Amino acid sequence: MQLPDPVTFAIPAFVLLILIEAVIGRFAPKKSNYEMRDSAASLFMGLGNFAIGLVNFGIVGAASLWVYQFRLFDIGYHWWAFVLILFAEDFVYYWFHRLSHEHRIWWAAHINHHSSQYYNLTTALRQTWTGGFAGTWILWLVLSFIGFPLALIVFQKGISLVYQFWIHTEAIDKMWKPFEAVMNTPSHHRVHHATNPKYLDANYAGIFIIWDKLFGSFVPEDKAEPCRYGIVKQIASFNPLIIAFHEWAGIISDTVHAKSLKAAFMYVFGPPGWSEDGSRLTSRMIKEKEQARLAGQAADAAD
Amino acid sequence: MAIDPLILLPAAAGAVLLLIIVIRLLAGRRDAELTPETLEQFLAEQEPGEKIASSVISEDRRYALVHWQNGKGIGLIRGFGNKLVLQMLGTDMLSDCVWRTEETLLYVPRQGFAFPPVKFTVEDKDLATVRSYLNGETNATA
Repeated sequence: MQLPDPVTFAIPAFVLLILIEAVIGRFAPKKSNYEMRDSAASLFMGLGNFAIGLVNFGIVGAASLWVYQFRLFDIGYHWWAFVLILFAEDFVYYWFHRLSHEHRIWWAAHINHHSSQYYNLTTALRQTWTGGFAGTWILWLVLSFIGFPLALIVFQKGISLVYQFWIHTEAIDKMWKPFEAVMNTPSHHRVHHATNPKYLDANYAGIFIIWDKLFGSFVPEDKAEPCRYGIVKQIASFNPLIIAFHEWAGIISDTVHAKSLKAAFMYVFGPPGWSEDGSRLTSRMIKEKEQARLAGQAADAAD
Repeated sequence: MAIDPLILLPAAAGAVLLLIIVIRLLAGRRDAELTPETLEQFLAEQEPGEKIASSVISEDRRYALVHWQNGKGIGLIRGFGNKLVLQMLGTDMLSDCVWRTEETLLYVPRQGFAFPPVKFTVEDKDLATVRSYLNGETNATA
């Protein structure tokens, strides 16, 4: 069965919505903040991802079809298969996304998406160039093993990417409560892109926020703590090549200079921010430091 | 239903170029201008609880050097779009900095893959402070 590629058909909508948001930003800068060089970098990253994806698809598709031979079930294309894959693919996405934040080798492939200090619809298109190389697609093979046909998996991945486009905006405030409770929304995803210590490593959801609530990674947006976007150690380049490869360069440099095999291993597979001498901070360390600071402040206020 | 990639890719590239042109017209290039107020606000968010001993803003208001009280070292802050980026300069990085144009311009070389070099223009009144940063003095004050 041949299914349409949702991303291809969504491109005109992407263009239109970006234009609308940029116009909003001209008249209401608090609702959307655009900078030409930042947006250009994001759009070139999106274009590169699209082109690399066409090449990668051959390898990923072949791996998926190979695994499909050993499938547990024959799910096919029944109507309920589309419902089932909506949740199954989103579940896989949650874990891919969480692991991409918790282990540096996958973080190196994902960091580019977080590297902008701006948060607008072009940020959604700041996609990876190195995810295929890092093997982040391996998790999706589970769906082939269960018995979902390749075309259905590819279709649902497209739906997920299209869904996640519109949540990259400051123009939409918190939404209807029941919707916020179940679905990933601009508010939830702003938290995910924020570098404020209380927001770090939260809200990994793709379409449904329920996974974060189930696995303890949900943090609601707090109006008293406006989101500051980007990465903990911000970069100062709009060059797509630097955006795509700077963390890989960091991994190579750290590994070469590592003083032990264990340290070299940790620089590749440990949490982002891990260092031999403790001079850098992981997300957990940043959160602990902030909690200690706030506790100190509270104690001072009580005195 | 599939569209030939040979059509799709140029079409996507065209859409990207169109968008960049329109965003250029609507938003344009934005550059942050550093002032003592913006610097203070940025550092309060970036390094809460850390006390600043002194700071120097470049003559063109694009960069700043900051010296913290706790011996944390020297930080270089640069405008990036209309946002700011903080980067700590270790002693080895400080020793790589060189004076140019009769000590009115401090050249900070590229610091790692994602931090292009900086030409920090120094006003006469700030020369002594900047020199003390480079010499690693911990009691420098502005």
